Amino acid sequence: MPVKAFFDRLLWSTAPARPLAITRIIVAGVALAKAADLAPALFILSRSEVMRLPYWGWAPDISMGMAWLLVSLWAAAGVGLLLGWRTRWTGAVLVAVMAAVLLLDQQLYSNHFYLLILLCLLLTIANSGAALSLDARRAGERETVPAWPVTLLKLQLSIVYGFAVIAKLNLYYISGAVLDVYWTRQGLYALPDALRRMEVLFALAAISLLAEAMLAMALWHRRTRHTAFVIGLGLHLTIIATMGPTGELTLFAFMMFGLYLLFLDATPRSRLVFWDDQCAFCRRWVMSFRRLDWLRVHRFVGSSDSSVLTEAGVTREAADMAIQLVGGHNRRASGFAAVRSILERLPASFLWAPLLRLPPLEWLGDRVYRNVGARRSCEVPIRVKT
Amino acid sequence: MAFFVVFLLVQVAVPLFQLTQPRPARFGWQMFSTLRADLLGVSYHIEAAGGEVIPVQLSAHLARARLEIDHRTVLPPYLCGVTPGAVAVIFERGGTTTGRYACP
Repeated sequence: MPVKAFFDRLLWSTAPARPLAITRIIVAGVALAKAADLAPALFILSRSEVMRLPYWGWAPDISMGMAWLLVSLWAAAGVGLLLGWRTRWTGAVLVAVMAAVLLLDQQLYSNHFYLLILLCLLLTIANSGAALSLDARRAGERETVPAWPVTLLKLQLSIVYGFAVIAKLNLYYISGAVLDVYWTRQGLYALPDALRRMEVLFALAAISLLAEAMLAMALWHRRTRHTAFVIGLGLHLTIIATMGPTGELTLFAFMMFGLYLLFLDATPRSRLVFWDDQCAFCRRWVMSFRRLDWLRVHRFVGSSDSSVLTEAGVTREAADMAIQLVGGHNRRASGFAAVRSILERLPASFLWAPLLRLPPLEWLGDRVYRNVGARRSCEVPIRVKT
Repeated sequence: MAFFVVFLLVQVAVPLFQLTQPRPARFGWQMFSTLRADLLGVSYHIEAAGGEVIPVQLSAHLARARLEIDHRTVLPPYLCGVTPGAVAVIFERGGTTTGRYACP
């Protein structure tokens, strides 16, 4: 793609509104969880025997009343952002309150809290209440939003992973000493003492660096994006399972997964799915896909709709035999491959569905699909709206 | 467009600058990047006027322990201020005294 066209798409064009809305919901949920996580620390800081470490001498003391006010405002604004009620106002209040808390005392800093504030700021600017929100119910849902704030959100992800890698390029980390200290020694995911050798720790450190470096770049490219989703899922689940604090690392993971969603190609109704609408068994599956198609990427068309079939170059026989998918650039898939491709665009499954491309799983999935297709029981047909 | 450029510049410049600071530094995405070996396992004790040594329970005086904060520099003056009759704050590591801060 020419460079100018690339930048035009990132900055001057539009982006789908629904992925951004789901990111808003996820991040607002994290903000509410963070309020519950940080509230005890705020109340502790209001006690006279606890050390205060303000960034500046003029920072106010934290009284119990101030702590309650901040937590209450935080919770209220978080709920507002989650529901998409007066999104720009509630987002602005949330950002202001969280930023005030962050800057009240050095002990309240954490990297994921800082990231949370930045994401809420960008979501507020990005009109993330344009879809899946109370604002959208009132004013009508919009299909697209300006692309540039979405681009900033995506760039923020790359910045976090990129600098996380660069900061780890030191002897302590590369030698595995950091992992040796932080990797749990108890429980199911403990690293046994026998494996706490230099070569093993070095390898684990190298793998983590490669994973983060890949995530900083690979999400931007169509060919590597789905692999990056799986690597990101694996990386964050491993971090949560093996290191602490679990709660904070879980919040961090959710924020990053919310950002991954913005990289999905989610142009509304850009993919046609043809299915046997004379079969109630198939109808149940299609209804499930439609319920989970929160991004409205797919348009489900029954095989009895001959005009659309013909236009897409799909025969009725093929659509009756197996589900058919026609995507952008005329990419086609059928049967299990089509099911996998649909799952790769659903928010509930896009992180793990690429695993179904692995040869043993792909082979098994194809066999199961064919067997189920051959044995399916199709009852009295029921008309389904497309 | 101006916001886009300024935001991006800040988000790149600040972490870049923080790479030049002792790790881990704030606002630099330096999660799990290093060990503060000098802070690991450090415990504090207060030496009273009569020579008595009293262990300090950190959780009673800290809201959250962060590696970005070197408690050896900020905690002793604070402990001296809130502990009547404190003569000094002693740092220990692995049972060995590694430092002593005389209360003013």
